Amino acid sequence: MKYRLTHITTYSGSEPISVGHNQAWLRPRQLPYQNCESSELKISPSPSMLTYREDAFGNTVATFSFDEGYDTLRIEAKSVVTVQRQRTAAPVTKPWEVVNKEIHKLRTEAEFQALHYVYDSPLAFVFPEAEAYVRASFSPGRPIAEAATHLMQRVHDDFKFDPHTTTVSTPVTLVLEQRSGVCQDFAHVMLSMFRSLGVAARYVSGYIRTYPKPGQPRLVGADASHAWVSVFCGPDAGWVDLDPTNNLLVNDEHITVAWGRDYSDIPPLRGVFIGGGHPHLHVSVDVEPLPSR
Amino acid sequence: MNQTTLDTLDFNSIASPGWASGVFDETFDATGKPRPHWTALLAELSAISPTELSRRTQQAEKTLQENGLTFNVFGDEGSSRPWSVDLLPLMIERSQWNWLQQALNQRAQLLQLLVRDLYGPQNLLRSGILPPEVVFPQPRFLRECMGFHPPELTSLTLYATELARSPDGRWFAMADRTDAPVGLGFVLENRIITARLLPQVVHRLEIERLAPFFIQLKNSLRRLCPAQTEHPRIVLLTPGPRHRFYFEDVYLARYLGYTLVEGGDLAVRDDQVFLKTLSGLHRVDVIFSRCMEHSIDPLVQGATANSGVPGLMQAIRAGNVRLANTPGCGLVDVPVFMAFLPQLCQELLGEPLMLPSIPTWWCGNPTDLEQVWKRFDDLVLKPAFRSSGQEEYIVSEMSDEAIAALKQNVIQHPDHFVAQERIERSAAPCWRDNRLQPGHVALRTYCVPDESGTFELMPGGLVRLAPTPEPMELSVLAGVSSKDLWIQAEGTAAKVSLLAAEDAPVVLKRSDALFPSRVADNLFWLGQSLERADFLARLLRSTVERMTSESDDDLPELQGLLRALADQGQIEADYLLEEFALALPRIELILPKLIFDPTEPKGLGNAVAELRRLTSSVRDWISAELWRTTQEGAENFFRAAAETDDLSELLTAIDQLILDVASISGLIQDGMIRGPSWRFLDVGRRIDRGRNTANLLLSTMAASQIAEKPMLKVLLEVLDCRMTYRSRYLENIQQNGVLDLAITDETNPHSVAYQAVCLAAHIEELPTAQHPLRSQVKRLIMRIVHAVRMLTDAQLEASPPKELADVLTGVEKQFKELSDELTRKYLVLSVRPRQIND
Repeated sequence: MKYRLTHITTYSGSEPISVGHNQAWLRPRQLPYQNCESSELKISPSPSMLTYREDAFGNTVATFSFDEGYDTLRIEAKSVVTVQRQRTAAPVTKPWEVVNKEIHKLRTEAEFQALHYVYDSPLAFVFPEAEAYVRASFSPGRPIAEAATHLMQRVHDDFKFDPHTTTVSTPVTLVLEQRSGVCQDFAHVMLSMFRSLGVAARYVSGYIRTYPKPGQPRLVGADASHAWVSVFCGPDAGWVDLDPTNNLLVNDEHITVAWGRDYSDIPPLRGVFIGGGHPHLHVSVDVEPLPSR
Repeated sequence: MNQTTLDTLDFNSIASPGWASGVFDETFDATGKPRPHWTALLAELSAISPTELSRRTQQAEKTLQENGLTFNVFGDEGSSRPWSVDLLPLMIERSQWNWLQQALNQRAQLLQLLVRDLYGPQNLLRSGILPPEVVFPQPRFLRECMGFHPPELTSLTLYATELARSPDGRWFAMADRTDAPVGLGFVLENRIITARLLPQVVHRLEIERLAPFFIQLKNSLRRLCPAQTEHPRIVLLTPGPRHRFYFEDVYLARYLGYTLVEGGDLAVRDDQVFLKTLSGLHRVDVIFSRCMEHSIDPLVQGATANSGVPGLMQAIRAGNVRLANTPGCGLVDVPVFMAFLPQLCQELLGEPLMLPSIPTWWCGNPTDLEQVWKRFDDLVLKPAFRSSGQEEYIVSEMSDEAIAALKQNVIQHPDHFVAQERIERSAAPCWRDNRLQPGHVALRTYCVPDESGTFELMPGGLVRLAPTPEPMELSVLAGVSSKDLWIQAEGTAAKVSLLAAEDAPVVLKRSDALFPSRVADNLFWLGQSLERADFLARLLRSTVERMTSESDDDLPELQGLLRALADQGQIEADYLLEEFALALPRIELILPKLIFDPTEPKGLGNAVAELRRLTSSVRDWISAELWRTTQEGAENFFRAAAETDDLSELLTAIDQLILDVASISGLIQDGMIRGPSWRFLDVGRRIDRGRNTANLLLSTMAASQIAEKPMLKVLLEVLDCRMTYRSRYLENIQQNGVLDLAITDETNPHSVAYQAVCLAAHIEELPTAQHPLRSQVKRLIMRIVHAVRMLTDAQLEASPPKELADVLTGVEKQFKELSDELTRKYLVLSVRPRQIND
């Protein structure tokens, strides 16, 4: 599937903003199953400085700053991406205990890299309730992808999607307690669960294709950023992406932008500024399917 | 007992084996004989009588206090504790020291290689020599620093080590310090004081000087400069005046000759770091950072790093600025690595580790944990991933419940803990409570790399002193006192001072280009606080004098004074209306609180507290005397406040404050170079005084009393010009004479005109952008000067002086506008950066 992605962030203060420094994780990753044909960042006002670099997790991060100040900041990220990933069932994998044990033997680079995602991170950490929850899916000897898919199904069934119950700073412990939240919260909860068993799992940020209601046109800009998890299933099966919000094995309707230990490693936009009064942030996302040739 | 033993220090009294039983005795051997490297010192010290030593100790304490050598106990103002020095130095044998030099160089090299690997190829992790659990989950593993440590760059510039000696005399490293190690300022101050009070001894014993070490430190910092610049710009970055070791930051910046900056003084533009100064942005090449590395860049590290510099990490990554130590070094500061060092030394350097760490077990390793359970009660437990000293559990001193809870914690998260053996620290004589006593010592040493990359050990160090051999907190601040550390030179000690290192002809200059805008801002407010304190004190003095006077006369001027106090926000306006005043507490009762309470935002106490705070934050830019006089003045004022609420006693305190403010002004006028520091201080002061004089006159006019003689007298009193008036007009007090003195007389330092003229001159000197027309600031001040100069005789004489009131109202408003405009144009808004997601 081919998509044109438009992610527009506007940030305006009630008073002018003097100098600002920003980082953005908005360029889709280049992957065996995902080809990012083009990706550009249009920033207004024009930044004094804009550079790209690769972060510790292999994502592309744009760093830009403003020496002059501004009233409104507008960042438009436009990308064209082709995704070819078909997955309808969990792959056949080794038991989760075996995968866990083998990671630490460090026989492959993939296993070494997976180690970054085994431990607590600022927003997805181990706590007793998470471990209690995960055990019902990770019974002894169960193949890891099968267990993880089972867990996703449970999280999807047990948790209510409700944007009014959480904010970006709601801790993962509370999300589990209240059993509600948004995609980002479900991803963090699942990461806490995986990590309580020593399973390597990472946070993936990106987009998902949406469908208009039957008989209605597609609404431009009504989409949103999306997030899901990816579980390391051993060097042969590799990483398996699971979307607990939609109870889906991730396929060609998901576009991957970046991954990290949790959201705090890869927010779409991070910034520091001076002034601004009462600033207001507005985000609009559009995922437009393109006819593939 | 004969007379002579009473008059000399009797070291034999502590030489008997027994006082230092169970620990290593630094001074005497097992038979009670002094060790060879102590004999000369003991002989010298024996010539000093106990009375004399006590006298010198007192002198040392006094000097420390006068130098303001304190540290903030809780990082808040007002709660600081004085530093304390024991004059008897600790001697360490030359051969031991040479061995330590080698051993600590090896340790520093090892730690630097460890940092390079963990932030680079990570071979130690890939090969399984280090388990990933000791690196990846650590909050101190800063992934942003990947790639910061290529082998060709020096990562570690300042390395400190906590040392202790076990009962058999062997040295152990108790902790490694690689994340902005502190204590150098205290080492210097201890040396200066000890050398001053035992001057002959230092020279005769050929004690190694500390200066060569600091020269090496300066050279190391200069070598970090990324560009080939002849004079790299190096600044010392401090976390700010609220930080515990701010004193030391100021001290070191002065000693090393670097500009002291806070995060807000630096700006990143085009991935380069600049210092914001009055004359614009100046490029910075090297930052000697005294901030912990997890709080240097709010862009990367979030709101917890808001005192840092946004974009700094990217500037480092781009190679445009270097930090000492390079961020990332702090990773190896945590105790978990101590358990792996012997193995790592073999792996990275191919040789055995010379200086052992205190035996350390990482509970995340099952075989280590087994050892730990076997002797749990004898051990000290610490968080594995936090710097030693912040939190530790000495199991033998804990209650049974606490031990059970700790065990539970270790079982649940074994990898979060290390266990270490306890060590009984060695002992040396010290002089406490006017007698010789044994003291247990902890030692902190410092290393810097030379040109070849070899780490040089400072021939000295920070010795902390505890009365018992129990484990001492691993902090510069632990213990009851401190000591100087002496190493005898091989031959004669090199006579170098830090100044000699830069013994080159200077190019004459009259200005300091590196004047940070923040300092200008602080000095501006300091000038305002000084004036506010002076004015309010005079106004209150005149009021209180009249309220406490014995005479039964009607005091009509009191109404005008109360009006002025109300207009200044000192009392509620209702006191001016008799029918309301009755309902309020008697003014005599509320005045003391209003005067002294530092939290009353417009009160005198607040002005004095601000004065104290602001002089502390610009301490690097004002003289030591000015700083001391201000601190002492403020202390006296608040002490008086605590002791009395009696109105007449208040008068004494206010009188004293007026005198103290006068000496502060004297020091400023007489001592400060007429550069930007003085200028901004004076600008703040002149603006405030102009407004105060204008407001005072307006208040008395509003009370429609300006024409009355008692009121005119009060005006002369508050504006401090009774003498001048009398010399001109004798006792004939007339409105126009008084108002001329208060407003139009440009020779009277309290008149409105004088402030305006001074300000006009100051503003001429401020840096401005080239533009053919006058700036807004210039137009404002010219308008004020003009308005005052255009006043006529008739306007000064008119009763009521209506036109004059209009002019004064306008002038007062323009002074305020001038203040705002200057702030906007020249001074930084001292606001913290904000996060986009906040």
